Amino acid sequence: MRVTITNIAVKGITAAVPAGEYDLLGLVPEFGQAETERLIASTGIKKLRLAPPGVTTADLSVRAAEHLIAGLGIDRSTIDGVVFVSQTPDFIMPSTAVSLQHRLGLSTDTVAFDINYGCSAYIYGVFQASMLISTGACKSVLVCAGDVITRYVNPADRSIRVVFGDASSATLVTSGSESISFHFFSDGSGGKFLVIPAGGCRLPRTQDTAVASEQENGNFRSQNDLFMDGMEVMNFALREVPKSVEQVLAQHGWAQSEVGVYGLHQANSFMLNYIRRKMKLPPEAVPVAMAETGNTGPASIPLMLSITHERLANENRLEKAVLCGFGVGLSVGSAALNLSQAKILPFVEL
Amino acid sequence: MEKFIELFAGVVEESAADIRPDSALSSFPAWDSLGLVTFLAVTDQEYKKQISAQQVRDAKTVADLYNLVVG
Repeated sequence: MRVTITNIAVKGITAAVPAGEYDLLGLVPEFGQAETERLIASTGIKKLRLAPPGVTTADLSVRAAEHLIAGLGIDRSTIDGVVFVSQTPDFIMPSTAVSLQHRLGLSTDTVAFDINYGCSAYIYGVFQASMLISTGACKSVLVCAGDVITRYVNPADRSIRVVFGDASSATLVTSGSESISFHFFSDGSGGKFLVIPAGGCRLPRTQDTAVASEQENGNFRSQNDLFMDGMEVMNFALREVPKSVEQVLAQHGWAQSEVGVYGLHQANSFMLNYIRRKMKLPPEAVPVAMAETGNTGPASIPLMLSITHERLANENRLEKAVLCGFGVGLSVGSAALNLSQAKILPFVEL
Repeated sequence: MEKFIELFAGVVEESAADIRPDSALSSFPAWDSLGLVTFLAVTDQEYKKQISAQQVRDAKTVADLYNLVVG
């Protein structure tokens, strides 16, 4: 599916991460020096940000949103929509977005709802906000995309323990003079490749689902834990990301070479480098900025922008930007947009 | 086969001279989840071919992999 939505503006973007850094070299006693160094060299991830007990995605979202509201100097009463995109809500019910309306002191005349997506989440959030504005329903929509996914990572599953970190983000989308093109790809047949099997209605959590067992290559996890089939996800990304980017470029009427930045989901540097080479893109156009934070799922694109915005702005790369998230679903979402007028703020800690 | 073994040696971080077609994949310590993903990426790049994850998991020897990619 592809579409262009007009009369939109992305006003501001920022992110929030938990304050404490977790250095992956701390895994040496457990994994061994050589193995730990090999993992770090391959993923490009040296440190993670892990949300301490009691800190949720909503808390990180409030921190990011307050930072954005202050940084933009806007009156919060002008915000009339909140979209929370996450797989780690505070509760199964009610939705987290409505609690953000209250915690941020937004008007009760606000539409607020959640969307469940992971690594492609950011594009869905901006898409939803753009639609709310385009229909005339809203004038100013806050998108908070984030996860505290490490809550679902079994420490004995080294295949993902060295990759995932926690973060959230805040983006303000308003009416304006820009247009944003989107492309989405959905393949639910791959749902089993990136999944937390237990905890929903299909498979409620029980004592049995909590029992961890060895799955492969010495990795242990239970059905309550996050599972990722790295090979399937890699194949999916290599196959579908270049196609989705091609589609969104065609929709927006841009040539590949005229785009300043390809902001891909910050999965790990290994995957990004292969995708980049496959798409024949120069390294400077594909920021890789997860070394100090890990793969932060829904927040990874706005967090990357909050880390790299100064260079991207100095090199005039933000006027023609393509963003692409890919993963859980399996799904891909891409957007082509002008970010040169957006105020992108450095991330904050909580 | 020579080019393929060179490529495979890079994936499992071993010397190509030590790798034979009948070498068991389980004998390479780096043929783990990271090695498997690397293999998929490398074959996509070098051979422009996507191999199914299950087929790679089912392979027992270097020759099995070669047949998947080139054969």
